[in-house]
Amino acid sequence: MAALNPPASGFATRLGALWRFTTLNRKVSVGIIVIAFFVLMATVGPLLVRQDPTAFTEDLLQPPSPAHWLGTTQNGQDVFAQVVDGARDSVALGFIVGILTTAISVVVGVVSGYFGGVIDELFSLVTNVFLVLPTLPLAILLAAFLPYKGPLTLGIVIGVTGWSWGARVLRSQTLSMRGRDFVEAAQARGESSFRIVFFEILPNETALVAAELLGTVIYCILAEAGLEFLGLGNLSSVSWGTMFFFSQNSDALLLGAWWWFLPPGICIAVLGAALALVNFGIDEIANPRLRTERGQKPSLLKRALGIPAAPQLQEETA
Amino acid sequence: MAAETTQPGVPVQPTGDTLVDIRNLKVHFPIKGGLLGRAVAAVKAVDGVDLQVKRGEVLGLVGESGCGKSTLGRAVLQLIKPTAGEVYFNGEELTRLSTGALRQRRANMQMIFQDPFSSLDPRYTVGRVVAEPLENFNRGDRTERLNRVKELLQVVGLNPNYVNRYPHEFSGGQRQRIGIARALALNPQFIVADEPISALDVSIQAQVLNLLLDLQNQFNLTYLFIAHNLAAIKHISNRVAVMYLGHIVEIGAAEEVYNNPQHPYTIALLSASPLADPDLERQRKRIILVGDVPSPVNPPAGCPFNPRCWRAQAICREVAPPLEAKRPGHLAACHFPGPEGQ
Repeated sequence: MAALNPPASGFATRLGALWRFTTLNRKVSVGIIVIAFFVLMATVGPLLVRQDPTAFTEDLLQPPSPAHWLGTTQNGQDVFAQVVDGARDSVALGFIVGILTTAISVVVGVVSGYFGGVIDELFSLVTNVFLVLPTLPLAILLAAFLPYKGPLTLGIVIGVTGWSWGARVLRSQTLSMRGRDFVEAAQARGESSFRIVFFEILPNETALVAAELLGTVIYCILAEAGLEFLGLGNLSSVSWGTMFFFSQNSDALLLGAWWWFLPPGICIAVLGAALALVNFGIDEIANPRLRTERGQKPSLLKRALGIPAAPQLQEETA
Repeated sequence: MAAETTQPGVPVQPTGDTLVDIRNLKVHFPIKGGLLGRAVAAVKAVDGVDLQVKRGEVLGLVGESGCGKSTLGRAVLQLIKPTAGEVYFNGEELTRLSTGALRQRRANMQMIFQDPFSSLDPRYTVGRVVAEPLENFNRGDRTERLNRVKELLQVVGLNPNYVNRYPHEFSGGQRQRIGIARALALNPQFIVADEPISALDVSIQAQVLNLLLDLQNQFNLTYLFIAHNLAAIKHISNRVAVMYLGHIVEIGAAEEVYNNPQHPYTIALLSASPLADPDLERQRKRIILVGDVPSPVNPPAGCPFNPRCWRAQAICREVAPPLEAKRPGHLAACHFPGPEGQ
């Protein structure tokens, strides 16, 4: 197949790969669209919303109406403005902390798995300690006792308690990779340890790393919302978690003010589902075996229009 | 190639026609036990091997599973650190080289692996797999490397247009050819082939074997060819070394060892391999060895083969026989050498 296409430049290849991944299958497409929606909402959303999310108004606890699309809170704040503004904190924290946490687990897991010996013993000990620590109580304790309350504190708490599981998984996978012949072949041709770890072993663990990244992002968003729900975040900021906290404090459930706590809850659930959908596609892209199976099934649109699938390319002959 | 800077403190010797000189090489794997994880015993995988590989020859190394032949091959390339002993490559002692210096020498000695399914990184295209050694040693620019890769694929009998394919798109024999192309990429002098054909279909084995022989003639390569297939070894080797329980028990020219085996183990090994001629096959006497290979953790005293040897006498249980010439250019480690039935 590739022989038919002229070699493209590096950037174009990357872009093409990204596009192919996006259109890999419906799950991934839907997941990416939803994530892109939330990212857009977090970045440009606050600029488009007229109301100040923290401003008090006369309309107390109003159900959704044209003036307040998602109703108002006990203090008359606009819920829609809060959801849009809160996305920034939740999504940004989720992704940034998720990436950093995954980076920690990748380094710890791969290094201890590949090098073994004393390094492994040490890293494994630390990993095991963090594995058996009950993360949520620890996170609550840390968040309660750290003097400064804000996204940084939450990020540190979630990062400290969230990396160990991934490190353990990656260590096991690296141990199995290290024994493969192609790693030994790399040693035999004199590759440096750095190159072996990051160019031979790690690419073979892409699926795991990506799955862990997405899982950690979901965990971070949930943990942040959970800690803030318990009042352990910065209550003067607007985020999905603090919305839960205030709605709970004001007995929104008893008052039947579903429009107050449902939107942030749905946002978290939908974002989590989107991340999980993308995760399904990653295995496909990371496994070259599955990659060549593409393009044989006509897309939904083409099927609807009655366009047959592209004929399979013939093997080029010698 | 030999004029690379030498490392101070590492002995260098004039080599003559010897490319690889292995002296009293030992590889022991510790068995950890007890509360503190101290080494309580050792698996003596390779236990004092002396072996010379001459320039341009194919030295076949045979022996049954677990006798240490793969470990020996890996220890020669320093993929496993030997416990004791020396390996001279081009007259330079490898075991005492620093990691960096050893890395430079690796361009000259390569390995072909047994399992073509696990020896190629599944995420790399064939082009990258073969170009990897070139990249690693900074040979040439992108286009030069691509041309070299295509040339190498042609040399091993693959279509050079396959560079963008992934290993899983190839059959076992084709994958082994890719592995061979990768080993040849840096123009090495010495290649350790660790059972390169045992994972292949019988119909493909001969093709790969002949390819290896052609390449040897074409590029003046030296092979240490490890196998347990006696017929393959006979076909490809100039000299044959027989290994048993971490020791070389017999070594000599291939024809000589096959026609005039001296060590009882070699005799038993040859008698276990079938002959193509059915008449001869029916007539020949088969020697069935009794017992199992002793544990390399606790090898028997004296000759390692004595518990299973039908010629064993008292001396065999006490004195390990040295590897010495029994016939011109034909060495065996046995107190009672000679072909059967004399």
